[in-house]
Order: sequence, then C-alpha cells, then structure tokens
Amino acid sequence: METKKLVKLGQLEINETILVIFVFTILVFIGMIFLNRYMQASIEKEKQDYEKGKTLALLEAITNMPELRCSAQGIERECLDSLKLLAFHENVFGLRKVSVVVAYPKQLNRPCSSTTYPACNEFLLYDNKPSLIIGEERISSPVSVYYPIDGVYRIGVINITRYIRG
Amino acid sequence: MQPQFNWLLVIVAGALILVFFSNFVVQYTKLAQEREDAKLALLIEGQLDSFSNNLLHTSIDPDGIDYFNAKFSCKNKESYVGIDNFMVKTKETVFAPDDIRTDRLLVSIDKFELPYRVENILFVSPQNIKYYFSKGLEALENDLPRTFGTEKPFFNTEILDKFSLNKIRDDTKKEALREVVFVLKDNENIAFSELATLGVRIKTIIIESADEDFGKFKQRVYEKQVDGVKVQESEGVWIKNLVFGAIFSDAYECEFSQLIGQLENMNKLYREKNLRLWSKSKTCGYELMMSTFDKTQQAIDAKDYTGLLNSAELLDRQNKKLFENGCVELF
Repeated sequence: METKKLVKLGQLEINETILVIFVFTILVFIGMIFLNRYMQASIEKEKQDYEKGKTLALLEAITNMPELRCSAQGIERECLDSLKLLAFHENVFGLRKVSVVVAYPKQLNRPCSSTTYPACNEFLLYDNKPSLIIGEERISSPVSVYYPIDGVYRIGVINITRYIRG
Repeated sequence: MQPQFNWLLVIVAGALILVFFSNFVVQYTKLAQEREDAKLALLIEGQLDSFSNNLLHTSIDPDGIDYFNAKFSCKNKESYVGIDNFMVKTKETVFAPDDIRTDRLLVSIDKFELPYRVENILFVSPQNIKYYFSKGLEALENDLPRTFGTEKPFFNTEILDKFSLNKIRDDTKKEALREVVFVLKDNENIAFSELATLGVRIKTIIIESADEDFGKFKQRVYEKQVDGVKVQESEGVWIKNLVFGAIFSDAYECEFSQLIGQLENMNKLYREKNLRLWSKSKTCGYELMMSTFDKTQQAIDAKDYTGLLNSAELLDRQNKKLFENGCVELF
C-alpha cells in the first residue's frame, strides 16, 4: 500500500514538473514572439531613420550634382541650370519624388517640358511612387535657378518627397 | 520501469530545452552581430556619401570600434560598400581595395572631368596598405594629397629609390602592413620570389604611360593561400586621374565602366542643352559642338579613349569660343 502511494506521489511530482516545463516553454515562446516583434519594430525604425537621413543628404547631393548645377567658363556656381533640369532623366533617387518649383518671380503654374519651357514653374526631375504607400515625408530647400538663354536667375524651391511603402 | 522512464523523459526534455536555448543564444548573437555590421556599413556609406560633395581628404574613424572589416565591391557598374556580408549600394564611384581590416579608412575625393565635371570620385585605403612608387614616378606620387599643413603624404605612400627587400620587410613589421603595392614604370618588374617571404598580399601595377592623360597598366596580385601562391593578372586603361583608381582599386574595370556610363549620361545631357541653345541662336557655333558630342559618343562606343580625350579637348576649346563670342556657354 505504502509503495503504491509513494509511486503515485512520484508520478504526480513528475507530471507537475512536466507541466511546469510545458508552461515555461509556452512563456518563453510568447516572450520570443514579443522580442521578435520588438526587434523588427526597432529595425524598421532604424531603417526609417536611415531613409530620413538619406533624404536630407540627398538635398545637399542634388544641388551639387554636375547633372544639375550651373557653370560658366568651366567653373561651377551655386545654382541649378534650368536647361539641365529640363534634360535630366536619371533614375537614382529610390522611392522618392524630386521636383524644383520656381517661386519668384511668379511663373505660369504648369509643369515644365520642352514645349512649355520657359513659361512654366515646375521641373519634375524624378518620381517613383510605389503602388501602396502608408505615408509621405517632404523636405524642401530654397535654390537659385539659372535661365541661361535669358541670363536671369529665379528663386525656386527644391522638394524631395519620400514615399513610405506599406 | 516507470521511474526510469520518467527520468529518461526529464533528461530528453532537458536536453531539448538546452539545445533550443543554445540555438537561440547563437542565433541571437549572430543577429546582433549582423545588426552591428549593418549599422557600421550604413554609417560608412553615409559618410562617403556626404564627403563626396566636397573635394577633400579625410578619414572615417567610427566611434568605439577598434578594428573593422570593410569590404568594397563593384558589380554591373554599381559600387557597394559593406561590413563582412552586409553590403550597401553607393551612388558614388569608390576606388578601394576589396577587403580592408583597419581602425580607420583614409578617404580622398577628386573631380573626374572630361572637360566638364562628370562625377566626384573617391579613393579609399587604410594605413596598413603601403604604396611604393618606383623612382621616376615622383610626379605621380606628388599628385596624391598631403596631410594638412605638411609635406607628409596623406596615404601611406613612399618613393622607392632602390628596391631593398630588407627595408620592405622592416616596414611591413614596423607598420603592421597587410598589403604592399608596388607602382612601377613600364618594363620594370619585381621578382615575386624575393617578396614571398613577407607573408602579406602583394600587388604590382606597371604603368604604361602613352602621354600625361592616357595610358595602360598591367596589374599582378600575389596572394598566399594554403596550397601555395595564387597569382592574378589583369590589364586596363586609365585616363586622367583614374590612374589612381587603378592603383587603389581591386575592381577597377567595373568602376571604370561605371564612370564611362556616367560620362555617357552627361554627354547626352549637354547635347540636349546644346540643341536647345542652338535652336535659339544659329550664329554661335552650337552646331559644331553637336558634332563633337556625337564624336564623344562614338569614341565611348568604340572604347577609343584617345579619341575621347581629343573630343574633350575640342569641347573645351569650343566652349571657350562661345564665351569669347558673347554666346551662352554650355558648361
């Protein structure tokens, strides 16, 4: 009787241990799911911060690109050449939209193309919008736009919109 | 039987849990390392990106990191920078050794012009790669940047008056060099058998200079491996300051193609600008430039680099003429 009772007690304890291990494993799994989600979120945040930083760096880089910058006698100047803006066809900015809007003196409110130039106000340099976006982030900076044919400078704004893909 | 079975169950379950946790720790450490690599690679790429806007020479010295393994590669006319296996695409053309182990990267930025600025190019190398220029190539070595306010070369370079194995062995030990590069004149060579004992990677670049702005080079890389020495040979052409690209880079051919691709874009862009200026003024000589742009494209297609330099010179003269005639210049 006594031995049977002891065996039953032992079995009960073993079952209890297995149950504890089982519950512990489930808790660890839940913990790991949360940890994984947290890590994914933090990686996503880092990615967003990086993209944000890239957009800011792009603002400086674009105004320094030989494809857009104006020059005379082989010396570059602190302005964008409107004829180069018109001829720019490169695909280098990722999921973004880059445009230059001439703000002063006021121009006709329409996109610039070979037919509308120079009576237009918006040079669309690049637009790569994904089909599904969850947000947009825009930064702008004033720029000087040079019109070589007329030899005049106009004040413009360079806009960079970053599309946040869904 | 029952108690033995229960013990067996506990041991198996315990072992499984132990394996599971060990695996988790290993994976987590690996992931954490990959994350650190990614952070560092993005940091280096970001710094190269921001430096490329200015013509300067500086160093990248990440905070809190003693030594790191930087990798540079080029595939399909695109440059990449990375740490171990994490590679990031850079929009700049970077001439660098493919595998660098260092505590800081030395970076120098220069313009590539033909005759207008095509792109700012980056030369990257660590302090533990030494470049020996043979006597007679002083002018070439002098074109490399100096440390601010001194005559000391910014990169680890030296003019080698006379080849001395003992001196190179001493330098290798003293400066803890990982690679030695010899920049040699045409018909000059170094017997590798003398250098094999150094135990570092050895590269020789033989510069065949046709004139100041164009030439060919032959490259030979000796790498010690378990089963002996692996020798890689290649040759290529350089124009203008790309001679330094050939010296610094291990993927020169791809980076050269990348730059020529960018030149092609710039040529198209200026051709389009020229066409518009021509439509406004028929007396300035824009039609002559139109033909020079076409010649440039033909030279690119035919890989005729002397023709390319001639077209660049002609474009420069034609552009100056525009200014002299009171017309709108192209660049």
